[in-house]
Amino acid sequence: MKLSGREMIMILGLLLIVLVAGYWFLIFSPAMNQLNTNNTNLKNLRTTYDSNQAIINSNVVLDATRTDLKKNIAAEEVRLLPELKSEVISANLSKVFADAGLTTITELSCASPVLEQVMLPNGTPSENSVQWVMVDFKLSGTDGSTPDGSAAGATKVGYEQFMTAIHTIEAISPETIHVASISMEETDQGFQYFSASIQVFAFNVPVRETPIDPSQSYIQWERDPVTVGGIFGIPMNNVPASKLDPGFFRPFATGPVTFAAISGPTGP
Amino acid sequence: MLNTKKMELSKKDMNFFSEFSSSSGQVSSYMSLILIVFISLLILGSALYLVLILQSAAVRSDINKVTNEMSNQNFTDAAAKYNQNTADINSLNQKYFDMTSLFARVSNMSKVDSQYMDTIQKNLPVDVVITDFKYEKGAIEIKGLCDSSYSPLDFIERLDSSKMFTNVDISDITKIDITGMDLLPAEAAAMKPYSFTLVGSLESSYPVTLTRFVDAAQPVPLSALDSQNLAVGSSYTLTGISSYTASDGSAYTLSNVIINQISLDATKLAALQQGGSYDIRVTSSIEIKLLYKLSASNGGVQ
Repeated sequence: MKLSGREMIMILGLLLIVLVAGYWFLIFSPAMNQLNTNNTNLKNLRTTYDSNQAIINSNVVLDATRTDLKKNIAAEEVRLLPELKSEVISANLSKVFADAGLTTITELSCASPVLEQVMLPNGTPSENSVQWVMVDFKLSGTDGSTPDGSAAGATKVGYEQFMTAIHTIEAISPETIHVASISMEETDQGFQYFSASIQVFAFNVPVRETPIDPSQSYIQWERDPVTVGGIFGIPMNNVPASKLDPGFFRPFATGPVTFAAISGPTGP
Repeated sequence: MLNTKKMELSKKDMNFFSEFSSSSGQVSSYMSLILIVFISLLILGSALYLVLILQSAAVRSDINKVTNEMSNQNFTDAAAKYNQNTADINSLNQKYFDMTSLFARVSNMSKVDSQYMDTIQKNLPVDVVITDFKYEKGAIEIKGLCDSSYSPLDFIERLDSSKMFTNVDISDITKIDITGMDLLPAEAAAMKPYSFTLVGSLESSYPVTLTRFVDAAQPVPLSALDSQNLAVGSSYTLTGISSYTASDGSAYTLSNVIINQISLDATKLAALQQGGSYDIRVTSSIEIKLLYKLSASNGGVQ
């Protein structure tokens, strides 16, 4: 069969179209898709890389933020005492009163520390807390007439001296030591009793940003070393002779009670 | 006749062949053209394909390069450090908040201000003897003796003038009954005939605390607690709170305001979110909680 020229051209044209289509669909498009996929992957990867890079760069900022926060926390930590030592606090406050002239403490009490905590958003208490103790003093003034052991034999100690001590306590560390209450009680005997309740606060922080300074005031024991040698039980020769009672049942006694062993005044 | 027919036939044959040869020439020229087009397309297609392959290879190379960079030790270390830093900062933020909250509680506890006692002493009329006093929890109770029933009133007037007390009340002014005291006449004459009890209320103030939290199911503190003591009746203004930049540079926008456990109504909140202000009258302790959400245009790392 012979093909006319037109038919030949049409067949060749068709063949060309088929070849072009084949090229497009079988070679070009897959390669183009592959390139697009790779480009998308690269773009995603670069986005991830950029955000990672931002993370890396942000470490510098975060380091600075962390350092600043630690400094701020350290500044907070030192606003209150790092721990409570009732004996040191009581001794120091007693000294303040004594220095002001109120040397006779008639009552001193210090209750167990009170703990205050912050509740975390999840309802549990924070490990950081604040503790405080209340030290209650009752002090006796003097009448200025009765010998009180002072160099002058008798000096008047009253409101002026008490308020001097209170002013001093207020100024020691206004954030750490609060005077919670003060009072005066008249005896109608020429002298007065004075009372003061003083709160002392400490941060109870398990992980501190600043080390505790053991030489810090109201932490360090500042009195002279004590001489040891105390005993358990009042020995007989320390009991006032007038208070010894021969009729008191002594389960260990084998005979009549005598006070021969007592040195000094004998018993009744 | 026969010759004439042969002539005509031979002419026809000649025409036929000439037509045939002319068509054959056209076909060959088309064929050449098609061949050229085909070869051109082949070259173009191959070139395009080559370009695609090269581009793909270049992109794959970039991918490998970026992947390698991301998986190197430095980046792993940096990522670990970032996680550690973030955890540390969260923990430190909580600790800072705890400590400022605790300190605010300490600061807000009632305490003696000896200036009040100094004021009392300075304003004491000459015939008055204070026998007892008690100063605690923002009030001072004073008991004393005096020569005249007017003396405590003079005393109160002077204390009022000092402007340090919001109020000074007279609990009692009593003429002392000395009949049962067995006093000598001279002693009775020297004795102050009146006793009195006054109670002075000090200028009241209340703590106003302000905290910032991330608005989430479990709010995370964004900053330290701000606390101040303000006198009763004074005004506290909330302003400039529509946005907040955390210490790490992250930007937050206000999402809610809770005052003493009650959310601010939508109109007032909207005003604050648009940079407005809101006044609060201090009549009791005020606890303000500002809740923030991370801004869409956050400059920090999310």
